[in-house]
Amino acid sequence: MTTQLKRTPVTVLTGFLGAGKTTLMNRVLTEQHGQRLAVIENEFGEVGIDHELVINADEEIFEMNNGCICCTVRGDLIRIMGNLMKRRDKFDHILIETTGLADPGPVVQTFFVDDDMKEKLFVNAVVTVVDSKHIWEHIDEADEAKEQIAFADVILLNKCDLVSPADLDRLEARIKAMNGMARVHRTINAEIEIQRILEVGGFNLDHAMTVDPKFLEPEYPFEWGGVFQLPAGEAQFIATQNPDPSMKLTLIPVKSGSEDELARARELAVRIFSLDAKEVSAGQSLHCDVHLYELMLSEGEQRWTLQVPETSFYAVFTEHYPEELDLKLCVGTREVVAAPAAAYKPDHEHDEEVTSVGIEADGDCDESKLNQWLSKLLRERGTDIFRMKGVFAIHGSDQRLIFQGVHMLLDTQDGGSWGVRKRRNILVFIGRNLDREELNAGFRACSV
Amino acid sequence: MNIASSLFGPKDNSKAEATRRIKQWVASLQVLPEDGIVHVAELQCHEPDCPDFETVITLMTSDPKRDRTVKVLKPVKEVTHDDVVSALLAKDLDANSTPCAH
Repeated sequence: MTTQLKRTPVTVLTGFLGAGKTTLMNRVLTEQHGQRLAVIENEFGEVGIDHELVINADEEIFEMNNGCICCTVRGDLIRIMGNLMKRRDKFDHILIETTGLADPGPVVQTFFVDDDMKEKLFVNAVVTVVDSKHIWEHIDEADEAKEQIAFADVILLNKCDLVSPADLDRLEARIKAMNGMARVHRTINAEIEIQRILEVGGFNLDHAMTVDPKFLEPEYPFEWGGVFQLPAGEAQFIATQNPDPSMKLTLIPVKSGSEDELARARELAVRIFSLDAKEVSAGQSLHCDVHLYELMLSEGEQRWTLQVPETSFYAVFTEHYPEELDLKLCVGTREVVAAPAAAYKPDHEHDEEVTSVGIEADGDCDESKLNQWLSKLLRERGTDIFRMKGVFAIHGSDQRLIFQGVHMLLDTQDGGSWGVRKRRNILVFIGRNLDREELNAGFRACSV
Repeated sequence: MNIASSLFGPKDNSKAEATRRIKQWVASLQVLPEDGIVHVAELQCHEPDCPDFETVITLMTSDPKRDRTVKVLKPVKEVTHDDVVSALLAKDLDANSTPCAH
């Protein structure tokens, strides 16, 4: 008779040399967290405690299918897991520390390929420790640095005492643009509640919403929009700063100064921003004619005349925040204030290579369509998709379907009954060359 | 190429059981030392002229250089005892073959 043991969680600890992995590992080994750990490390030197099991591993990449990225796993970990599984009752959690240059992909994939192993183990979290001071030396050049960030469920911005708050904000924004799903913590000496490492629960996608609600918002080609009430005649755009050589802008007549009208105009503005822009230098005129203009910026105060055909409301959408240019709209000497106004999540500041796409939709999915779409997507784009997580509401089922993947490999599990919760699908992709519109369209086609 | 079998649907442990079955067959053939590990993975091939699924069976010992990998061109649930024996035998013959004298 098989003993029904729960799946053992596996946490992978990664990060560049010097980031603080060892410090974090020592904390985990020495603090009282109530869990019996089996620790797998690539170097000797960790402090072992009597009740901990510490195993040394030599990184061994094993390609099961000659060059196919999804079939590349860690042979050394397979051997170690095979032996550990013979004594599963001796520990509660497995912690794997990788070397500084390790690609987390093969490590994670190791736990996705053997169905017997999948029944006994699950990936609780990939925890990446980042040296906040020195990561900029690697983040653009080293694929391993990008992969370690892209694969993470938890990111520690360590040594944050060595970096200014403004630089930390910049780093965190850059990292979140690459991986919008990870929970980011700022740490000194890798100090963090150990539960935040050991109890992430790899399938808990609800965290994606609480950590950064903006992550699942749609992105726009403009950062700001607002409605102005203007009298017929002339108004003036006045800017005194020029952080960039130019800035795009459009003006759309609307019926009133309401949120609904701003939202309607916003959707039109998205299309307008995809058109060719007309360059306008200081001293030239713009019109409220649903065209895309490009204000050519230079030093000092610059003015553009706006021709207003009739007293009415006009929605203005700007590529960047008006404050960045100190941009104002004036009628005579009076500044006109926009109401309502809104800031939007931009689509033009992300890492060119590694990005995150988050999709959210209420209602149910057709299981067959979802299966076809995902199967095709993973077959054709699996090498570019580092990780994927989802919660689906499947038509005809009361169970939340939780889904996690790495490259082309998938794992699913029941997430319990929806109960009184709103049936809401959430899907997150992290990878290279992701086409947000294509992914959105593909997922929408699966709706019932 | 056929679309993959459902990613979703009722979750059962039939693939895990099939995986364990294959591991037990390999163990019963006594081709591994006591500390040997058998790893079984069902892979999906994306090449147009390849079968949709193949089962990769890897016999691992403490020395990676002595690992052996065999493939059965079927989904894991369809692999039979004879398939495993044939695959291992073919691997042995391949490993033991000597170059033609001419």
